[in-house]
Amino acid sequence: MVDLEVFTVAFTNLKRQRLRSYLTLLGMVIGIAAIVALFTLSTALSITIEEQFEIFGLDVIFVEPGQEIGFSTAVSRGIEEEDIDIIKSIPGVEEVMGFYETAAIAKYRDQELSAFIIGYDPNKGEYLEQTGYIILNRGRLLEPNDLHSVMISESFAENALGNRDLELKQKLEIDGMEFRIVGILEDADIATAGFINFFWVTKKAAQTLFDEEDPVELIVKVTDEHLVDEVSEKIEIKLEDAHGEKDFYVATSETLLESFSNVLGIVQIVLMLLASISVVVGAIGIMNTMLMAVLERTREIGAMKAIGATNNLILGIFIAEAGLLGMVGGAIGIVIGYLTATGISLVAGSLGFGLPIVVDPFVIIFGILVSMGVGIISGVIPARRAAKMDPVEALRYE
Amino acid sequence: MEKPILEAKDVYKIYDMGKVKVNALSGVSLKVYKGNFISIMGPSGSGKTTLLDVMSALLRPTMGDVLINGTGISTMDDNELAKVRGKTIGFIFQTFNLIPRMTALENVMLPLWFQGVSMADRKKRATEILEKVGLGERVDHKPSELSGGQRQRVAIARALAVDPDVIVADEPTGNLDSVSGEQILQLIDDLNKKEGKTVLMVTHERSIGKRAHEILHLKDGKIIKNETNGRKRK
Ligand SMILES: Nc1ncnc2c1ncn2[C@@H]1O[C@H](COP(=O)(O)OP(=O)(O)OP(=O)(O)O)[C@@H](O)[C@H]1O
Ligand SMILES: [Mg+2]
Repeated sequence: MVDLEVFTVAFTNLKRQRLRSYLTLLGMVIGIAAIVALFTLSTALSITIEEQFEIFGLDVIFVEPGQEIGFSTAVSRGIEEEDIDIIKSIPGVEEVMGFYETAAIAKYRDQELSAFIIGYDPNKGEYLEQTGYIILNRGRLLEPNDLHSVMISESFAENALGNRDLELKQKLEIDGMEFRIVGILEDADIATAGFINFFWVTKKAAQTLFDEEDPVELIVKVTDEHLVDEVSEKIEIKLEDAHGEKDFYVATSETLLESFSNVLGIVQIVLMLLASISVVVGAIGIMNTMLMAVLERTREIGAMKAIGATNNLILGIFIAEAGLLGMVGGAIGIVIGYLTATGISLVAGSLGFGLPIVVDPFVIIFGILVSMGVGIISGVIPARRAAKMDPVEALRYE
Repeated sequence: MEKPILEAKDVYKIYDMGKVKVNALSGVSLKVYKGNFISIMGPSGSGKTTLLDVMSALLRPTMGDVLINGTGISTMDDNELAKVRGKTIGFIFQTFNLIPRMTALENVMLPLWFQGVSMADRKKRATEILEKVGLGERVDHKPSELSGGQRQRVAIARALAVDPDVIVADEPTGNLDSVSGEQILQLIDDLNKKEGKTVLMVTHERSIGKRAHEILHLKDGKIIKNETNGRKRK
């Protein structure tokens, strides 16, 4: 039978512990903090990515330059303007949109704002609005001969400058070219799912800005979700025919999502392994602390045994103490983990990438249980040493 | 005839040190009756502490046996010994051996916990005893916040917590100045005279030994002299 009051005594012991023993908790703190931060951030990342694809819907196909998903390079530009018409002629294709994208620094007066420029065909603005990709909050959509007009998202308008809001008609400068804000988009647009610093410009403006005729990405919308795979295959055949080589790849929402989560999964496993090493270091730290404590308290242990403590009770007190010690490390680690994740999310947010941090009770409970479990396991050897002490020898210990 | 509360029957404690064997006790027999006050004297290394240890079920004899209330300890396992000790014996050490991280109250509550006494009763009883030994004002002090004499009084309170029949004290005044030493001795004496506690006490000083009914003189692990002090043993 386990007397749960060992925890009260263990708690008393810990509460009045010297600071030194808490320093050995560093490994545990770092390990648990890393696990919590990694888990929280990767959850946030997959939420963001999933949201992004949800907005795109399952009835879209992406055509991108390069050989493989995730390895597109600027070296080979495998997509040409003419591809839009080729794809459009495939049965089952409802619309093809070419996007011109690049990262750039925009300037508002003296303030620099990192931004992601996205150029699109303004003739398809209404279509984008109908399909819910973009929702206008105020102002207007871009028009075909707008060369110096830009649309931004509402949250960007509110947050970019800190205390002041960006408003319609204000002027921004990108790469020496001047743009006027003509439209502000609802946050429910494509942008809020991930990158929020989207600057929507016309295709013509993008071509001028980037000095490049061809789009970097095509988004193909099919008439029916079930046609996605069939149409993808046809796009591959037709484009390869036209290009003479396969310098592009075709992906659906589903395949993209899959490969994203595969990559994310591998990264997660590797990082978790690294974090586990910290926890193991933490476990050794706790064991060391407890061995020291047992040695330091040899006479106390002898006295406790003399006045009637059984071996099991002594075992229980030390195991409980190690468990609580681990739990303290875990709790500190959880807090630091969430703070770190929040910090990273804030930095990412200021760079235009939204990572929603969610405090998950499961993570907290898991973290507490793991750290307590690790503590208990680390405490077994020291606690057994204490329990097995001979009271007379312990009392004579100098 | 009354049964002794503690009885040593031809007890040997031999430490095998490889080349040499140390006979800490060699053939000690002793009967202790309820209410006895026995003082043990003898030169350093004569086996006084060892005798107390076997008599109080802290140590199993190498040969012979110690009976506590008629039950032999040499066949008991660690848990049984702990139970018997916790119930029957109250320990007072030369070095106090209080738990430094616990308050006086918590220290005194400890043996009651080991006996399975409820939290509320523990607190009540421990407070009462601390008051009795004159530390009612110091219950929340940690040992480091108490004087030597006060610490030893906490230790006495701890020894009395479970109301044991026997008090075992190994040089209880060894670490105290003469004034607080005298107070502690008076306290122990009162326990014997007023409450009928059986007392087994090791001491170096003859004058202290005089309070006892009986003084055992130990040498080389043997009782070489047994003085009765005025009053006769039952
Ligand atoms: N664990 C042990 N291993 C070996 N020898 C021991 C051990 N414990 C005690 N002894 C020996 O047994 C003998 C008796 O020791 P004990 O502590 O009983 O003496 P004592 O009379 O209490 O002495 P003191 O007055 O110095 O406290 C000593 O010679 C001591 O060296
Ligand atoms: Mg001694």
